[in-house]
Amino acid sequence: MEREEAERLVERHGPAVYRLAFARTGNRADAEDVTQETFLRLVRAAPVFQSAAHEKAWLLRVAARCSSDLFRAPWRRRERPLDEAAGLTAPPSEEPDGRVLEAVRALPEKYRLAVHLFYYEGYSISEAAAILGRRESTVRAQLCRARAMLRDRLEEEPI
Amino acid sequence: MIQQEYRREMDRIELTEGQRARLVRAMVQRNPRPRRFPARALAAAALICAALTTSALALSPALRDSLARALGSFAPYSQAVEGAAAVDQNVEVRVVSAVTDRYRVKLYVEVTDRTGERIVDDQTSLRAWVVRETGEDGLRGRCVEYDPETCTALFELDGNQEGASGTAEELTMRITRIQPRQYHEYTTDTGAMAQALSPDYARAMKLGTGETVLAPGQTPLEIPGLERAALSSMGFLPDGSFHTLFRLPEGAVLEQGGVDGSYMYPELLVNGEPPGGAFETYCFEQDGVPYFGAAFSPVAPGNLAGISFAGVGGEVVLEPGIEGVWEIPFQVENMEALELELTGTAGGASRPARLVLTPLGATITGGYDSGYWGGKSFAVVYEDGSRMDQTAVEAGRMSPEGTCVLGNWTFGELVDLGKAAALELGDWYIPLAGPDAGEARPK
Repeated sequence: MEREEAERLVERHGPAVYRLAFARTGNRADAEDVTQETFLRLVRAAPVFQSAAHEKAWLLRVAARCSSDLFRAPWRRRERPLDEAAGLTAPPSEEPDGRVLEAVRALPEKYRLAVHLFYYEGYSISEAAAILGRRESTVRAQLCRARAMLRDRLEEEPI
Repeated sequence: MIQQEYRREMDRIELTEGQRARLVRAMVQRNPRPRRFPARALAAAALICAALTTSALALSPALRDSLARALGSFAPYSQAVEGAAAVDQNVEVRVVSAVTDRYRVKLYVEVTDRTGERIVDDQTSLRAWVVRETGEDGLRGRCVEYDPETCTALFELDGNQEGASGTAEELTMRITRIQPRQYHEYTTDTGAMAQALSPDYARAMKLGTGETVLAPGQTPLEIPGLERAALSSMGFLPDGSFHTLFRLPEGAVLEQGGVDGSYMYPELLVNGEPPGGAFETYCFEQDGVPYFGAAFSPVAPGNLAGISFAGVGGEVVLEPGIEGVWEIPFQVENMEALELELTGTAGGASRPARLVLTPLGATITGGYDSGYWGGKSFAVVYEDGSRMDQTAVEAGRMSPEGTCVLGNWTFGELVDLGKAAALELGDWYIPLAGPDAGEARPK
């Protein structure tokens, strides 16, 4: 791939892919791994997109899949996922993340991407379902449960 | 508002200049920094293939070798099939090779996932049929090989359906469903599971549907030999049932009452025998975790001493099935056949028994009053005295009306008709050549 094209893609979509990967994995190192894998797949596949929105949705979909694959790796299974590590704290990051970010990272893994796509990226439930490869009803239910869990944790008014 | 706060906090999560530079460099050079994706995850995660623009592609070298190995001794009779392809749901299906005779087909099919995201390994199955002149039959298939570079799986599909009487024929292969990422798990190492049994009643809970199920997390146990599923709960309920509940991996496809989703349960024995009575299954998600439960009744705490598990297993499905229509017609030349009327002890029925023997298999047709011969052992005897007895019994067709298929066998290796001297069918010996050809007599 030409450098100019690579820089354009990273500039335009890098932050969105990185943030989705961070939302799912909860740490910057894994998020960078996922981001790199996602863009390399774009380079290999060289798909033809109908629009910038299509391009972004494709990248987010691949990033969601790469994030999940990271968790399914055999070496990963021997680590205790954050949401099951009751009584343990997350490893320290370079700077403290906000309380809502921490609360979202404490959600079950499957809820985090639905929350991120709907509340941060602004996708509709059907669009988020298409990106995640899940049924609309599933995403709707996951958002509902996630909202309830976030409310309990943050003791806030409804989202 | 939580949403606004989440947005503000997430806006601070940025790629650094160093990260951007590394990313661009990797994309330009396709030379990534050392990653923490283990090799196994990379292979399974489907390296995205280049966009496909033609419908007839040459096999990749990896799949060419796999096809040759799969064909084995049938390779001399294989026919390369060109231009037989269909695309639906962003999946391209191509028939690349066929071995056929009048009664059976062996097809080799490539399936390419153009998205590169769904079909990621050889744990993929197809729902397929072959349509011939007289009707259609379901095809039994196996994935021979998966090539991650091209995101393509090679399948071998076998079927039995009578076709045209002539040599040249047009077949149609029809696929209606492709199931990726379906992992079979099974183990007989159930000692730990048996030790976890307790006479105390377990805790139940009610789903939103009103169904009573076992609550998760009561007897968590990793079962040796199960890679993706783990026992979550097990025990008796006061209604006279015994339940097991397995925790499945995130993303496992659940299908209440369906046949295409994940399932996992033990082979329960009570006093060495499968319990009679009812067997029901259920599935649900709790806090994002999929569970599959099974209920055996009546099995009560009084049965505890006699309970054992012969094994435990099922299927873990990690990708929704791809429903579509791939209907592919193509031409074949059915292989040569040796046809003989069977007489002697095989004769005397209302319709003469006829043998159709090809390098691929044998079929005997005749009258209903001849009885079914498919249960007899079958072997081909060669001129040098050697025998080929690798046969699989296929479906017959017995009906008082019309011609019956009295016996139908597919061979595990190619039979050389030029050197075949006789058949051994149960207690009968049937010469294939000479003045006694077709005359069945006791061995």
